[in-house]
Amino acid sequence: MKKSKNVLILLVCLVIIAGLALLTVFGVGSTPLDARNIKLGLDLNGGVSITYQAVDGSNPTKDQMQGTLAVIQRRLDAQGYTEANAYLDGDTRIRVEIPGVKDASQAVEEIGKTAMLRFVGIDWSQVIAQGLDKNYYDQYGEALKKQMEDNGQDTSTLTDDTIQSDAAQYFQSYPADAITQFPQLLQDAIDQGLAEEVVTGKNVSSATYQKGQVSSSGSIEPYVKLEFDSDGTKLFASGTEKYLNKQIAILLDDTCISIPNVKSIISTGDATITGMSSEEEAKNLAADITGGALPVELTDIEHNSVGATLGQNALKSSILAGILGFITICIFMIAVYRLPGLASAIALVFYVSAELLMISVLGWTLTLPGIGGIILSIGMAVDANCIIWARLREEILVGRTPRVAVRNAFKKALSAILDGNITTLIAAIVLYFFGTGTIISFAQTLALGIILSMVSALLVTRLLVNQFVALAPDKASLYCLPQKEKKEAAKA
Amino acid sequence: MKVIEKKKYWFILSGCIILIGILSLIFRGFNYDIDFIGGTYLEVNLHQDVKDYSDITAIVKDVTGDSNPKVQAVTGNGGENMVSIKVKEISTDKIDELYGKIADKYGLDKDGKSDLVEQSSISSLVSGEMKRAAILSTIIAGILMLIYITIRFRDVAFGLGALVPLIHDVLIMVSFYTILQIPINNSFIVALLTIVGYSINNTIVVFDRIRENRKYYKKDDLESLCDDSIMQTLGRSLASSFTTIITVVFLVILGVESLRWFALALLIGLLAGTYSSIFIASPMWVILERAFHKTKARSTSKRR
Repeated sequence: MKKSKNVLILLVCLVIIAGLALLTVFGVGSTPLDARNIKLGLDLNGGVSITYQAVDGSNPTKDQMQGTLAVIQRRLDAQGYTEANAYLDGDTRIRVEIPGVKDASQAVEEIGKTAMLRFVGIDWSQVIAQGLDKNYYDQYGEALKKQMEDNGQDTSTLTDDTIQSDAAQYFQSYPADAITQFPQLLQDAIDQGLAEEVVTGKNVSSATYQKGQVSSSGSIEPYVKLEFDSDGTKLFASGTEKYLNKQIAILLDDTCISIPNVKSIISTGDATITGMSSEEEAKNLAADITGGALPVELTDIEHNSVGATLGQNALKSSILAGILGFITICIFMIAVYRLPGLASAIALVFYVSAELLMISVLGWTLTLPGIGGIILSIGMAVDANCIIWARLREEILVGRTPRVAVRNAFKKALSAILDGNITTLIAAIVLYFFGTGTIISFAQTLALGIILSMVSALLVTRLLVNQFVALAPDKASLYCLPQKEKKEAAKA
Repeated sequence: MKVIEKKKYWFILSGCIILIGILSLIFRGFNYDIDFIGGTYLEVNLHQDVKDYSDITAIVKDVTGDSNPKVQAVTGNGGENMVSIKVKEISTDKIDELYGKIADKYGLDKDGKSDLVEQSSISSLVSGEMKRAAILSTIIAGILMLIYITIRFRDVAFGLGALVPLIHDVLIMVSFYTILQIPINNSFIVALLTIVGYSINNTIVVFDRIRENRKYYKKDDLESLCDDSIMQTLGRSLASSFTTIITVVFLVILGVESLRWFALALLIGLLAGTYSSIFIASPMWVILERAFHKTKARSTSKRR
């Protein structure tokens, strides 16, 4: 009658633990309750991580670094690295992580170059009149064709004639897009004396987001207000004089943001950039210019790139090592500690599942040292059990019944388990605060492992062993190896 | 087993290893990885069995100007024909040039760079920081543990007695690293701190037993107290060391190159930690306990 209750508890425990294990392996849809949804670090997934630092002596302020970070994020987006992650690391460093990039050198170069705001005076009507644009019609045609193919459109209507006329129209009407798409065209114009750099972002003292009436047409629109320093004011005044009734292209890196017509000579030292599609765009632009205009020059002090195959091999082999280690431990525990060992093995399933699910739910990024931490903590999870079962054996050898022996064993083992785990936890916490990058990942999984393994050893195994004891209270041989008893007895 | 009585031998054994380590350190130094001295690391899949790396070494010397590059075979990264190149820090342009030349020679994917399996560059600026952080965190972790154990065991002899095996394990690991010339990198630091945490765990189990048994033994008979406590905890020490070591051994056998070094460092540390918790910790505690007792006795007698 009482036993049926114990069987029930045991069954419920087993079902819950089995459920947890199945959840870990198979998951529920795309929720985080699935070990396969754990975010993998670049060393397991392949990708590039780069650390940039402001060059010596630049002493950037926090705002300047934020501005620089904004520029880098914009560049990452522009390059199509949508999963990339960039963040400030300390006061003068920016760390960039890009999954799935093959060419590390190119990424390092492209992302780290100093953002440059340039005002280039240009006589666009002359550029067209002299036919500088014609050299790019073929490239334009190819790009157009590719774009249409990507969109699944029919390209058979594209003849050479239509491409020519289309291109002519494009270069005539959309100078900003054309300069962005074909940066060499701007260079050609400069070489031909049709364009020249008027002033750069170095002479911009502030860039702010504004909203208001810009043109005489009267509508309220977002824009960016620029103020030049004294040198910039002079340069801009002479530039607007020279290019009066022509254009000034405003470029950030190689992107032409806008190319307004110069309607008057501006000698007041301020300028506005209009034509923003949204407030958001104007805000971002102001931030970008602040970052790009202020000379926070970056150098890459560290970069690391791992090929996707290498990462996958690392993941596969460590999972295999983990599984083999796990099985060996289970066999060993049952062989040495009998029924309590079986309880440990079951609790270990709980522990590993819980650790993996927690990592997934907490959204931690798993790296190679992180896996090392998990595998190590599997070994350490058993340690607490070894302490308890060694005590249990002593108690039984002294002649106590399993029921009393289990109670005493847990009581006596508690202090050693607590002290041992807390000291290891201290090491993990110190690692977490002083470490960088992957070391933090290791410290996280280790700390989580220590806490979960204590729960698993002190609560889960205890619950299981108590049921075993209730079901088989008399058979001491199930709780420890009997032949050692004889040896001990002989010694005594 | 009379562990305490024979303490001389245990100390001498450890002392010898550490001495060899110190000599090795003086004459050969550490094999620092780029994490610690700065430099550039490339790993290339050659797709063919190249036994003689002198051609590659010549290219590396030519492109980088480094007179002493390290060109080695890499195993366990999923390909049989991987080669690693370690040189002083070079620019990304130089990396591209170097890879390009090797790719030309062995007919590899030059533009797509798919055969450049791994590429790292670390400036010496960052690497110095890593070293400082490592030493600092080891010291801080050690001090915090000393404080915790002294409070928990209400006895500074236990605290210091636990700290000595800790320093022992660190020194043994460092010794093995210089003797075997294993590359020292970030994973070595992680392994070191893991061992700092784990080894003390073993020591505590023994000390916990000594603390518990103390009331059953004569005050002066610290030898029997420790010997018996060690024997009582030996089963669990060996069992739990075995289970931890077995998981690490699988990592050493199966892991990829970088993980394998990490696992090897752990393995050395685990073995040292198991040894020191049995043969170093308790003898050390006996010596310290006696020393503190004497000074206490002396100060009380003086007062009289």
